[in-house]
Amino acid sequence: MSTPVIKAYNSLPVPSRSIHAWRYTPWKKIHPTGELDFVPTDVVAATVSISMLDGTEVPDGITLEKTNAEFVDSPLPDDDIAAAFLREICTEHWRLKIENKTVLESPLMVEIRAGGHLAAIEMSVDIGMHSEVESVWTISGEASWFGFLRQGSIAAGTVYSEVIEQALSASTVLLRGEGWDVGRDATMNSCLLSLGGSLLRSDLRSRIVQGSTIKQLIASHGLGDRVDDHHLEIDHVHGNNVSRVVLHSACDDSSRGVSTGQLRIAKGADGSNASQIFRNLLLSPDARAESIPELEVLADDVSAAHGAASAPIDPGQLFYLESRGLDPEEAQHLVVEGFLIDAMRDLDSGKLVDWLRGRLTIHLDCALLE
Amino acid sequence: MKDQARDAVGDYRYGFHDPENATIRFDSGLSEEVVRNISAIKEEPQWMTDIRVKAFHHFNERPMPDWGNSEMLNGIDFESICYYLKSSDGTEKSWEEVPDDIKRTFDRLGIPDAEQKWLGGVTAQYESEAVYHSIREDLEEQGVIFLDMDSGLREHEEIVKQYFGSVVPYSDNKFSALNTAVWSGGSFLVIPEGVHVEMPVQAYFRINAKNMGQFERTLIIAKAGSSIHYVEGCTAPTYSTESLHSAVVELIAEEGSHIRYSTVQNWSSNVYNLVTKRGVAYKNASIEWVDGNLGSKLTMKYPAVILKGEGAHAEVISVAYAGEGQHQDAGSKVHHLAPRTTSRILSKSISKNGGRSSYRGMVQVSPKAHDCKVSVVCDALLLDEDSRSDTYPTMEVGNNSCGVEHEASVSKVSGDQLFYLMSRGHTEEEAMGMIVNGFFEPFTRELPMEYAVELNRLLEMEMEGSIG
Repeated sequence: MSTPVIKAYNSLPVPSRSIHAWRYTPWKKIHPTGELDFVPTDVVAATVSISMLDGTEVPDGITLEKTNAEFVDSPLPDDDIAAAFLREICTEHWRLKIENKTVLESPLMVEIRAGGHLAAIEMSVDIGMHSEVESVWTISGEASWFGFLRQGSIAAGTVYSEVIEQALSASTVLLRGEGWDVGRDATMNSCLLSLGGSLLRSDLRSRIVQGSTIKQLIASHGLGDRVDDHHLEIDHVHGNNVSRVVLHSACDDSSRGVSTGQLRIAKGADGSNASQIFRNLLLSPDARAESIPELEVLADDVSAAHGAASAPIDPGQLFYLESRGLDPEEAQHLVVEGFLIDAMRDLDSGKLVDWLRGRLTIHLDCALLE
Repeated sequence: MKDQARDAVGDYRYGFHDPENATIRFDSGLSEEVVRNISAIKEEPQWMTDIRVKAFHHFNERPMPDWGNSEMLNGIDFESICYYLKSSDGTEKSWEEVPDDIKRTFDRLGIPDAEQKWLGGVTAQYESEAVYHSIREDLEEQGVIFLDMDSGLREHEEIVKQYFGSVVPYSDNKFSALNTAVWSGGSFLVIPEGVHVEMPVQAYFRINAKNMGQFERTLIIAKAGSSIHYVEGCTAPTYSTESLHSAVVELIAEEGSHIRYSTVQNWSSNVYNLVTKRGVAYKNASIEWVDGNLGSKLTMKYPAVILKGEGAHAEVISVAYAGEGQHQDAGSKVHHLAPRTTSRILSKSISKNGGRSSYRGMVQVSPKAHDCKVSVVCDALLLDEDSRSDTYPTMEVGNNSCGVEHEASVSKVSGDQLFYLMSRGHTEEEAMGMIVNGFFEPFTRELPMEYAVELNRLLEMEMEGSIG
């Protein structure tokens, strides 16, 4: 592996739209001003805090501290323009560290709040060996533009599960970059409920090695003219591991769901099992969905599959619900809820699924009342 | 040198070549003068010369694609290629009049024999020009026009002027610009309203010379309510230097018509095959691309259909076999521009001995194209640990009344299947061959029987020595 070098934002070329990750939300569109040479210096640091979901004290062995800026070798490439930009504008760098052999009874709660005009935060997450940790993340706030860079590593033998509720204000633009290394025999379950924001671009990349498992589960609900663009890449560096990507996007009004992804199985990574599913539920004639699920397979003893589907609600489902007394809006609401919750089916944690389901129900009830 | 060539291309059965007996051969390299000279030799109308020159300038200005196999693409030396080579004085209507050495080539390829048995018409292109052309009398009497493209331009200039570049403009991509600048040969086919051509018509493209570029241009127009099955085959000798095949095919399927375009591409593995194929289907028309890619060094080919009329249908069935040193970058594009249009794409690929196969596809449903149905299925088999398979599908859905589905899988040959066949007395090699033939069966069953048998035989030959 080459030594990582921090590259200056202005030294990097603007990515071409022939690169699928940048096909639908070009860099100019997601940049805070669209003036590409401009690097803002008045960025407000987002706030971050931790607690336990059940209200108990955060146990020893879990620390959240402000650190000096440092380069973390992560699957986000060092020439990634978004990551380079975020590194330059972030004024605060936080590290969440969880010691080896930490076993939590209750999920850890991490709250991130983005205020002001331009906000950003850079976080690194280190989870020690042989731990069992569940966490709940909330991302909220009214910032006009929010940049979020998170890079993490999960050490050998650890099982880490997280759910993220992204509930930024309806007018916020979000640029998010994440890079995760999942260690030997470790498991990462990450589930995102993407509800807020007006224009969102998330680039989520992971590397997995021998015996590790990663699940990236995403449910997104689009209203108004919201654009939610997810790019997911998983590198199977070694074999005998599992990756699952499930993305369900319900697009209403004139919203747009974008899902691009790449599962890459390296030469010699035999025994890899990779799957990627993008499903789009189109709820309005003006809604749009774009999907590019890619596979690059360089080993032969593998199981790799992907699928994508875009369709309206099955009229048979609506008829069934209406024949049981629900009005058409309630029936659609129920189908959408079921569709989005279904994305989280593979999350093996009742507590986390219940928490997310509660957040989703509140969101959909509010949307229905509007 | 001979050994080098053999190493480069393996046991390719169409790798023989005849001595070059060119009546006209241009020096290697591309310039405006070359483009104008090709047009002058063919005594073309001024409008065609002008298009060629514009296309040439566009080709020079347009950068090489930055996607796909850039490494191989950037290895093309456009200056070492001969852009026009004529081996015969004219296009003959009888095989007896074709020069002996060229006729011998086509005899060895089995074309005259096939023509007698099951074809409605044949065009045989050797280097840059068609050397043989015939059509059955009954089809001619029904008004079917089947000519080589140069004769089509001479005899039906107005039709060519109306449709040439209407589906694939020269500005579409770098290689369509190159083709438009230096095109020569190809087929021109017009099927009158309501005429169903029962027997397939065939074009056979052969590159014989070294460092040759073949740039045929094919235009097929199916008038309302007509139907046609066009079959195309391609081979080239094995050389250690590289050749370029860059064709453009334009199909126009008018209301209620049906065009099936079948290709079995078996270029030798020193040929770059960079082809643009596209059709437009109007109301209730259908276009089918049945596309087999077995040969070439690098193929980049994405047969496309623009569904412009309500109820139009597109079907693409493609298979790719990538052996040592080969990259088959194939796929399909379908653009749904009208309501109630449907499409089905089935792609199958096999990679072996370090070969690489890629599916690259695009399905686009426009906001006005309501009630469309799309199904895309890609399956890939990897036969050894040195090979590679990629899938790059793009789906863009612009309204909420469509059903778009895509599924893909990559796997190796199942141990259970091998065991089952071997327990019934087959050797491992035979069993593997049967599984591969079965894997490609959805493609071969769409081909005329003679082609299907030939394809299975070719696959068996490719599979020889694949075990152990």
